[in-house]
Amino acid sequence: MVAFPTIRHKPLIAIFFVAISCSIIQDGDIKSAEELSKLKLTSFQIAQTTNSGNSTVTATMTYDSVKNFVDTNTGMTIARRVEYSLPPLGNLKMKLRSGTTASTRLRINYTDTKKVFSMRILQLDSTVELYRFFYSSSGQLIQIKTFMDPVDGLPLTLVIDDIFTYTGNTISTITRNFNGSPSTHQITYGSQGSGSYVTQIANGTQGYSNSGGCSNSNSNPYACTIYYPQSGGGPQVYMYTTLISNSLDQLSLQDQRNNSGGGGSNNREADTYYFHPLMILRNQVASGDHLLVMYLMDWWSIGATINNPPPFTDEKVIFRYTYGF
Amino acid sequence: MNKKHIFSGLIFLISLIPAKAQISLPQFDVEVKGGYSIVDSGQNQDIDNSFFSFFQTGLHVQFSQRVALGGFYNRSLSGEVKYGRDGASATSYPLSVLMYGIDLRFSAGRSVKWRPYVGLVYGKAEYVQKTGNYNLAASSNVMGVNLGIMRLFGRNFYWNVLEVSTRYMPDKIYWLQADFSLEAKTGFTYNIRIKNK
Repeated sequence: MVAFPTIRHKPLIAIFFVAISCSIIQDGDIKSAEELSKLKLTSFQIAQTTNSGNSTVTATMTYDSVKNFVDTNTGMTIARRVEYSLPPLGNLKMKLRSGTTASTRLRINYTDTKKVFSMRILQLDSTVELYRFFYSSSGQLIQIKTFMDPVDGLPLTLVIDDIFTYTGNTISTITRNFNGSPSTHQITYGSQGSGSYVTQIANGTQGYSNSGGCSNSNSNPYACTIYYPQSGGGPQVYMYTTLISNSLDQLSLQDQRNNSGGGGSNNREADTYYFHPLMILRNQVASGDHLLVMYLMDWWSIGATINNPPPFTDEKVIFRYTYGF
Repeated sequence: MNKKHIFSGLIFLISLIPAKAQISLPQFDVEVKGGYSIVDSGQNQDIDNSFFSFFQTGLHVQFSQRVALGGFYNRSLSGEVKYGRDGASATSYPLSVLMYGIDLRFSAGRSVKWRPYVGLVYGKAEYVQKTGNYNLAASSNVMGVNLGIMRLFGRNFYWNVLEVSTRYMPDKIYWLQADFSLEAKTGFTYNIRIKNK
């Protein structure tokens, strides 16, 4: 006859079963992609590291409320408004394209179909930048209008009207109407795993191609290349995105000015990056990944060539995003 | 399968012992192991493979020299998920993992000093990634295979020199899009002899 394990062995067995009763998942944890999609961007940090100094500012959500009114310009019903306070960005690398250097508020309106309707950048109560998003009846984003409006009541300094056409669900062209002279740009994609990324935005009729620079000039606003980490190579500006599910976790813009590692270029002034709404709205807009790349290309300005430059180090602007409920 | 099923199953097996009075001794073994696991991120270009170290305890009922059925409990000690495949922009977040379940082990007889074994595993896995002010969590059934070899020291003590395991999670870890992991571990197994009355 065999007995049950002796008493000195029972604690081992008891410990084993007590351990099994534990779980590491807590009630407040996000347990599905659906729950994750309900997270809101509660704040974002912009950290700049440059040869002229460093700066870190944090924009925080100050307002999130249900609305119910009709926009008189478009007839769209506005159902929600979110605002972030953005401290002054300083005069380093990341700037507001309107030239505003004061504290601003980013006001985002959403339609009753939960789509981004607009982002206003306000200095006190004056709109200095306005980005308006238009959708087709099927819900595709078909147009973004950009207005730069100085705070002192002067006429608009910049109006850009971008119209998108699609092949299936992928943007195939952008027609930019800039100061009354429209031009159409073909979008070229490369494959990346199971997804795709924008490799080139070019005006096929004029033969634009990757020029290696990121000129923001009027004639060639898209002649720029962004290299992903996988691509290697040596353009002057790099972009990195890191993702948690569909949320942007970090966006890093790197101006490679130290040419000691090869591929960089220090014989020019620092590039300037301009803040664009898609830097914080990427995952709230269909094709946001592609649009973010397109506007990053368009929204930075290459520095001018300089002779006999001093030794530079690489410069970075890093967005870090924080989400919550 | 949930914890109650595992618990009930093991209690049931233990309850069979008196009825198997004449089977060879010992009837139990306990194990403590430590190791390292890689969670494959597959085609996800934004996430590097995730890693965690862990300890594992287990208890088996031996039906013969060659066949044992038991349970295991595996808990991570440290781990990380690394975003961004380029080192310059990589961001890491802590990863915690819990696995538990049952395993069926087939091994060489006790007469040999080096005993290879193979195990079939079925259980539950939980993954939690701490991300800023919130946690991402997923659970899935898990199944896998263990391949290992252990060396006898003395009468009841074994050194599990190396055990290599695969784990498959049919419910993917949703934010990693991962469903496969590979682990290597080492540890010790001690046979518990049952005293005759």
